[in-house]
Amino acid sequence: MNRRMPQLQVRNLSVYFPVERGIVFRKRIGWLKAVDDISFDVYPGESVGLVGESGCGKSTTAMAIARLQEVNKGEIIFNGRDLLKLSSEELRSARKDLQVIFQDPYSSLDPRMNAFDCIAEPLRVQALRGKKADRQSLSQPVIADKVYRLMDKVGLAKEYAQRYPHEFSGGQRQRIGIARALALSPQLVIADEPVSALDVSIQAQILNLMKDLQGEFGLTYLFIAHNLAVVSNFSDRIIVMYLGTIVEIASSEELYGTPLHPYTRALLSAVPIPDPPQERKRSRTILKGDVPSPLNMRTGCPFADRCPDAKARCQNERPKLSTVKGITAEHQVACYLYDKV
Amino acid sequence: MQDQTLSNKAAYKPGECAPVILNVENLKTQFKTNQGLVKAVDGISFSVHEGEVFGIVGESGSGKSITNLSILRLVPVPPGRYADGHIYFKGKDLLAVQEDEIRMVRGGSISMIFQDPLTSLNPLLRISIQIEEALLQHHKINRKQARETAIGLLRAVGIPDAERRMDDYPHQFSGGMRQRVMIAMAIGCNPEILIADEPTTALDVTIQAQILELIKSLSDTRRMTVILVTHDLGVVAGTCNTVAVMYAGRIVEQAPVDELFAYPLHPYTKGLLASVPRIDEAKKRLYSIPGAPPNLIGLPKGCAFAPRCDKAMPQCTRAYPPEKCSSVHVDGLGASGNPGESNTAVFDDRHVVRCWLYSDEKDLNKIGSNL
Repeated sequence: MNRRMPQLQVRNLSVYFPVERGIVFRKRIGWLKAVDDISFDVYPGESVGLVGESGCGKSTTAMAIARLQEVNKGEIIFNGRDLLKLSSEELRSARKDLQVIFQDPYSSLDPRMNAFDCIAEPLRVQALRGKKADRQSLSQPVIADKVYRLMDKVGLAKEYAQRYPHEFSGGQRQRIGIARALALSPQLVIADEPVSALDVSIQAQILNLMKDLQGEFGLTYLFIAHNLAVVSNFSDRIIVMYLGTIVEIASSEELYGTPLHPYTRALLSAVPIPDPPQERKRSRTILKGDVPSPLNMRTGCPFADRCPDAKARCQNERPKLSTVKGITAEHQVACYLYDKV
Repeated sequence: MQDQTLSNKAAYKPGECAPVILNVENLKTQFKTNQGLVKAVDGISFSVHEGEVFGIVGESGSGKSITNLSILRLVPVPPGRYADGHIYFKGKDLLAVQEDEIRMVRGGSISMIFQDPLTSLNPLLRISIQIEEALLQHHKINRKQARETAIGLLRAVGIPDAERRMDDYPHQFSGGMRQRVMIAMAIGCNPEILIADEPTTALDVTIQAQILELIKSLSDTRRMTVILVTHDLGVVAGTCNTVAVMYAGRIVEQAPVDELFAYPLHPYTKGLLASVPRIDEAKKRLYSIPGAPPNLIGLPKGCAFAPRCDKAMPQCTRAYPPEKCSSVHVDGLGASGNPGESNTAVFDDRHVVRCWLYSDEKDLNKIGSNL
């Protein structure tokens, strides 16, 4: 189905954080592999969900793609250009097409900027330092007009333009964040946990708004969340991460219908379903123990310690993400339980 | 006094339910602020039966946490104030007893676990000291015995290598393990009621499943009544027996869990259920309740949900709807989908709702004469 060129290609992306010891004489004692050699594609117009538990590297991946986080290895090819090789000048114009919606609508807005300025800021940056064409076309009235149109699109009344972030509710603040991300008409929007700080009834509003805007502006979403139910409702394809690696990629229907990786299965069975009779009927795989520390990870499968089906091989060799027999080509899994095609 | 509390429950058929262990009557907890009076809890009543898991659901600001803090009288006074109501625990009104008496209840016969296990544990003390503290307070035992008991508790909540981990500090535990430590502290004195205030909100979903499983098994093996506060309807569905839905400081609907999910009556409950994405359902556009939860300062007269409600009627903004048992209105429920099976077999007096949609002319006449 996806014969088109991918809009975003992530290749062997690795983000390591140095772990240091000592106050005066700092010494690096190891690396924390937050993201360890992951690759995936995002096609134009689709929503790709990135799920995993805290510490699995999903937010680090998102920030690395937006170049808000330094990368150790790999390539991030966006519209045919490797973002990691761009100069800061080139990056600024590339970022026009790649915007981020942040998790916490309370801390991602400047408390000293009113709603209008928050949304106008990316436009002003491009007007000052963007391409020549943008500098000329983005005059003050053009920016104002754009901001009001965006506010209308995300469901904020024009009268709210002069209000400051603290005067808005969480849901309204997230609407400002969305308007700001859309100000430069991006192609790809990275949404990092956009609804997890919101109440249930507001969550649905924001998710619906994001869907509507996708249809209207032809957006591609990379949607990051820990709530599997939200992700599966929102995304076309889902990437499941565990301890810095991708364990499974599948369409959201297939991931729920035929989850392959033992971790995905455990994750799915842990998600509560708001339906009492069905909850009682379900058989649960409750994982033992916690997610191990990503410090000094061993060479084998990162899930081997908690895996109910782990074999000797899993302890020493890391399985590669690949398609397996009997499953569609889009469904990939990194597990030795299945035979590679 | 106990007889009096039980007589309120005349609606329950004898033998059908376990006895009532906690009875909250018309509780009103308010806060004085510079902006005005916040009616955080505004006249709620409910009863919790022995051995059940009672769920309280609501969005932030709905008053669910303040309800729980009020039960243990932990609301800071001032600015807080218990304006009205009674909380009967085994016949004693917890709001009326002396301070030293309520102190024996706290952590003794009613104990509580909180949302964020990191901020609820003292970072400077080893967990052994923190677990032993409650044991020494409530029982006549020495340090050594307390330590023995504490190790047993840590084992009971599934902490491996309990003896060694006893002397670790809170930061040495992961989030799920910290919540287990909190639960160990809470069940130390064999409480009759365990209040769990969003116990899994800060945890990952696989860890959440572990903790909920633990709470359920503890409530079974120790015959412990649990009051579980959450905003996650999925958690409620899998854990609770009875559910109360709160909105703007009031209980808008209360029912046995199966019934609430199968036949929600209040428009807010219906909207809430429809707006939750479900993993077992195909992708669809979610229903969303318009607007946002109201500000609790200067709430307008009538039903607080009326401005967001698509079924709002003139009387909704005039007066707060009276409490109704659904059994009275079973016939009107054809709209919920299964009119055939919706009759007396499914519904009983335990399903109560506060909404003008389900009241009759008599109620309407009452507010008519008030105006």
